Amino acid sequence: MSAAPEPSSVKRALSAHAAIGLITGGLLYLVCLTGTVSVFYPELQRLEQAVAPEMESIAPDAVQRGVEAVLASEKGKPPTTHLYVHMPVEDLPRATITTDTQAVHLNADGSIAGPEEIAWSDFLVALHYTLNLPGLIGMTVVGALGAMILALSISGVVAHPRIFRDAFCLRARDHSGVGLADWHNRLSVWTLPFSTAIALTGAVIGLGSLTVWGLAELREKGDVLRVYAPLFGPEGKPDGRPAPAPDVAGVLRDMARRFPAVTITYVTLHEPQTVGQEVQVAARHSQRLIFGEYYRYDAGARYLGAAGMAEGDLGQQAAASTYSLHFGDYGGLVVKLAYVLFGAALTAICATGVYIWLGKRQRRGFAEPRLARLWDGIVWGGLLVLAITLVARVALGNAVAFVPLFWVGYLIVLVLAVMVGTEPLRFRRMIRNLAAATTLLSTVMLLA
Amino acid sequence: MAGDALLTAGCLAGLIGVGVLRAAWGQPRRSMPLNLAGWALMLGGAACGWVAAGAWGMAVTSLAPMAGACLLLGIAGLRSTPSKLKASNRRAGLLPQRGEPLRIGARLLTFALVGVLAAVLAVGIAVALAALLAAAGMSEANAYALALQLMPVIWALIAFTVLMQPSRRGQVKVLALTSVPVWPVLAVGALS
Repeated sequence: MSAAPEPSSVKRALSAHAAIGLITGGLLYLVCLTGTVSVFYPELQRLEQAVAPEMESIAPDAVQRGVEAVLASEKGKPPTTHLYVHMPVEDLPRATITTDTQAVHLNADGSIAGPEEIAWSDFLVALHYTLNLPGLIGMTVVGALGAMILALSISGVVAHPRIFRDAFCLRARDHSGVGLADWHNRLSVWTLPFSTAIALTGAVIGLGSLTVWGLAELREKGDVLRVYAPLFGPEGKPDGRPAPAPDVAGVLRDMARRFPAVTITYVTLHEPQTVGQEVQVAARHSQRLIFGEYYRYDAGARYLGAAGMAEGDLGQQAAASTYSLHFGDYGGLVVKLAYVLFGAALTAICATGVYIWLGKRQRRGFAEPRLARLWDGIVWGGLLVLAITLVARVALGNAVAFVPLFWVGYLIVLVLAVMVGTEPLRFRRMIRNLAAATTLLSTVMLLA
Repeated sequence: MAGDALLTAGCLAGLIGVGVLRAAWGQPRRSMPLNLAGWALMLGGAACGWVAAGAWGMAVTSLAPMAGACLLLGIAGLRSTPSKLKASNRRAGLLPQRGEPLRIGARLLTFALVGVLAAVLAVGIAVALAALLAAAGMSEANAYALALQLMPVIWALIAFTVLMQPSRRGQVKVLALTSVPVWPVLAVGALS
């Protein structure tokens, strides 16, 4: 008895694999490409705004001064609903305060150093998270792409019965299509655990709103916050009457006394300067996959309890582990480098899949130069335009409108790819060389 | 200290496991003992990571065999020589051959079944499962987290199963069957 699937099943699985791959391929490629670069989001922020003050740690009183200075600077404006203090950590040793309307860096003494200027890094991450579509729609689309990677993984394994047996066979120098198929299949097999983890966690993050909406409708009278509460902890009751700024310094001192082993990453003020305000501290635990634990305090620095993501229910721990497993920020530089390597492999898998399909059609006598150039435009043009946005950031500053620059630029590349009469291989060489040169230029400019 | 040693051992076991599988699959005939040893070493490596530091340790040790395999692939690529092998021309059957109809309506319907209806069903099944488990005494946190994690997996499985059907009738049957857990949820929703 053989475990190999029937030939008809293999054929249908190949059709399913190709159908999903062709429909989602372009967007998948873009999401994988931007996700791979985004692994270095903290490092990119440091390069993008190299002059911001950096520090190993910041004193509680300095944080208090910073919070009060930022709140004072917003007097007369609509009050911010949340205020986030990013605490200096290893990969981003900066203290930064973000409100609904501004983001500023702090000096080590808590004085305001100046505005945060990381528009390109934020654009990159938004492109990965939402494809620059409006909030929930974008996240759902990207989440759906994650689910489709899972479907592609299943159909890919079923469609290739020898995929494990041939797992080390790489005929890289065969240009008839064998080499390309080998690259696609070998990288797919050996990065399968990574791809599955990334796809699943990405889909959970992106599609979470849909499932939470369903749970809220069925069990919580439509209140989505009541679905999140058992997972990430409850929020305090709002009370909009005015109040002085909370004792953030007291909170930080209490944290150091109660939980000396944790690394504080964020301090969040909910509804600051109102009677209902609360201080929430997010802190990383060493050698844990969870992004952190939330510790709640009232405005007077009285400890209210932890959400339970570190020691609570398994579901809480699993939900809190989704993010770091996706971002690759749980094990320092080595893990980040591994994520970049495997992310690049996943990006290459997305690109080569469609090249394989185009090659097969060409060998069967269907020469489709426009389609071939279009796919080259998507693959190499995506990299090219992304690099152009980075060049624009370094050359022109933080105020560049990256979203229109990227999408209009991408559209122009794709239209040109379809319209020009250049022979496809020549077009590929041209756009590939251009993308490589621009990427190199942007990297040199960023590092200089 | 013992945890670090276990983590290192887990990474090494994973790397050796990849090497053993490389040796096993490079042989002219299938070697069951070598195959088993390779997989066991990889699983053992992940288990070492789990024992050393739970999910974090497992995640870290799982990266080692993948990196090792990529290295071996790189070597295989560098050493490969051009051959006269013909590439596979298996037809995926997505675009029509010359003279065949485009069937755009049918394709759009398939997209709607896989991309929209299957997603809705996946949400329904995940929510129904969470409700059932919560009613059976599972904590809300565990039930909700399970629903969040399962929804994309269920969608992917339904999408794959629907696309594997040779006929539209088969696709509809799959969707009808997978919708069964959703009906009680809808009934509860309608009654509440």
